[in-house]
Amino acid sequence: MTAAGKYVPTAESEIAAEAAGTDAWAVLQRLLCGQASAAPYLANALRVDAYGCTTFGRTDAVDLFAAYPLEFSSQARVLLSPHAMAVVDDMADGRTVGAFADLVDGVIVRVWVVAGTDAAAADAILEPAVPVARDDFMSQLRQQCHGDAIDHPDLTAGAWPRVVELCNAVLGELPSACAASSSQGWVMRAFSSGPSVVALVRWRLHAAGLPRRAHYRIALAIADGKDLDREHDAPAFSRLALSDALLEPAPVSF
Amino acid sequence: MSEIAWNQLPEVRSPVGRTAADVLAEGPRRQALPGFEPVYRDFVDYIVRCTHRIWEQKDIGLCRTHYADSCVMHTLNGPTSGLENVVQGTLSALASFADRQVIAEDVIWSEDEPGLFYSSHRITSRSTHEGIDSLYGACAGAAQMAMTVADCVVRDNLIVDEWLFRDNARAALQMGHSPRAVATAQAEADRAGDPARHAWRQAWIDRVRDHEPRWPDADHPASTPSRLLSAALSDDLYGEAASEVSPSIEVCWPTGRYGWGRGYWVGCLVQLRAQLHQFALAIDHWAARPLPHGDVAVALRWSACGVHAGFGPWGAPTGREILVAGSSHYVLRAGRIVRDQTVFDELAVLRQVHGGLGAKIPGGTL
Repeated sequence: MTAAGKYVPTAESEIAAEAAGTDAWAVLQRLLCGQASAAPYLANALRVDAYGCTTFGRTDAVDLFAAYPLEFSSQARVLLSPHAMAVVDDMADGRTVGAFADLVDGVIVRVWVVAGTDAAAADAILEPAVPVARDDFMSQLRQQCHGDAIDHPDLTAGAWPRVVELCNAVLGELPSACAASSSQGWVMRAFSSGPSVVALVRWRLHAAGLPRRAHYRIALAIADGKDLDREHDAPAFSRLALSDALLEPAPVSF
Repeated sequence: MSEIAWNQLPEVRSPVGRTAADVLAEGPRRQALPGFEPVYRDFVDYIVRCTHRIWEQKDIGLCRTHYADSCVMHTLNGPTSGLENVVQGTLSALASFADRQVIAEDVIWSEDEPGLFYSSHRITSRSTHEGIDSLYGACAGAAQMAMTVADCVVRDNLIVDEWLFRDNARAALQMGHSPRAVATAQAEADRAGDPARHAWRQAWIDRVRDHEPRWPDADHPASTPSRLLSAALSDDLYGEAASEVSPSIEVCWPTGRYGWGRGYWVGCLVQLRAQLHQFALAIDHWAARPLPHGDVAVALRWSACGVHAGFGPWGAPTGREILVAGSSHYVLRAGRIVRDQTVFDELAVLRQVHGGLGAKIPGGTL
């Protein structure tokens, strides 16, 4: 209970975990459908990134999905690790959508929805921001996928190369041209689930022409054991959900 | 600096990952808190619950049992002294933004001397402008949801010092106001009247310029972020600093700055530094606490100053000496920063850029 340096759940959090975490998937489904009954089982400081916008707090998240619900089918594929959950599903329009949740003691603390951008939702909530000039590579020896296995404790040993493959495979799936050599991917989350590997990645993509405007996309990719033995040109992933192009915020000019 | 080691009392839990019911559950004491009201289970509970009672349950009068008579609230807009001014300030805020929700993201704390506690409380507060406000005028029904970090020194149930850093430029933008217009109006008002009332700012700048650096012990989790912040902002070794943060660091800075990766982190630091020549940085306080999954939360309170002589988001150089003070909350995983959430009041910075708060051009012109 009191080992120094260890975060120790107490009885209350164990109760919360029992209520929510034993079926975090059910709670996530209720949240994504905008059902208020999900709220008591969500982290108080829940953050959601969906449809190109961000909400904070469990009530705003429920309100967002009440307006723009996302309903997964019974065929949805759900993968779990001790600290995260990933879901992918095929919608009626043929598009693959996904959701990724961070879990603490079974409680959902953060959610990314990887789906088409609902323009109405994004327009309502998108905020301007102070633009920041950045060099994503900091070297002429460019490495397109940025991340590190030690940031992802739920990855099994040796799984990191597959995560990098998943991240890089996203570039080949983009519906429009971009300057690939100037684009940069980050592994936001990754975990292993049995023989499968899950990666949530963010790409900042530069337009191929001038001016070199950037946008970003979020992708949720899953590789299964069979993908290890795939043929040469086969994709690295079994399932891939890819967001629409998400715009950088409008620049704030003081 | 710390009486209790950062990783002692793990049963005093961070709010991270907890439901509202869990955070606000009442129960027996989990930590020795002599002189504190019995309702508080531990120091984190004290911070979260007294904020909830005062702001959400509207028992503003509880300020009188939670702030010392001589308390000082420090902000980049100037200090507020005395308990009754805290009460009046809270009343004014709630008269304009009554539905303010103060959602605790984290409370990173330390016991710096026996019975003397320090908290760094990161909050995202959501509220609607339904009243009449001195800064924003008549109600517009606009909502704001900006991040705040409140650092408090507490003894015997009483806050004796508080440093409040709020992302006010973002809040102004969310409510449809131009931060520049708001800051310019504030600066114009500042230039009228007795300039001595702004003496606190020069005293703060002098303290930053004259301070003797203090550092966390090498085995304290705050050692790494302190060292990296100093390497970047004091020595301009941004690449060296970045090489020790996660390559996929998540960065959240004021006024909507949000991005991933070392390049973005460096971009935020360089942007700040490029505008301020003759730069000085002081790390004023640090604390750390365990997080779920073996992560560690670190809070640094810092102050910086410099001459506004470089172009940047604050506009053309004015030559004024500018004070910036803020708080950076870091998440460390395997000893490396994976998340940086930094807050400073950029609206108050703009107020100085436009000649407010006593910010002068060398030679004495306001």
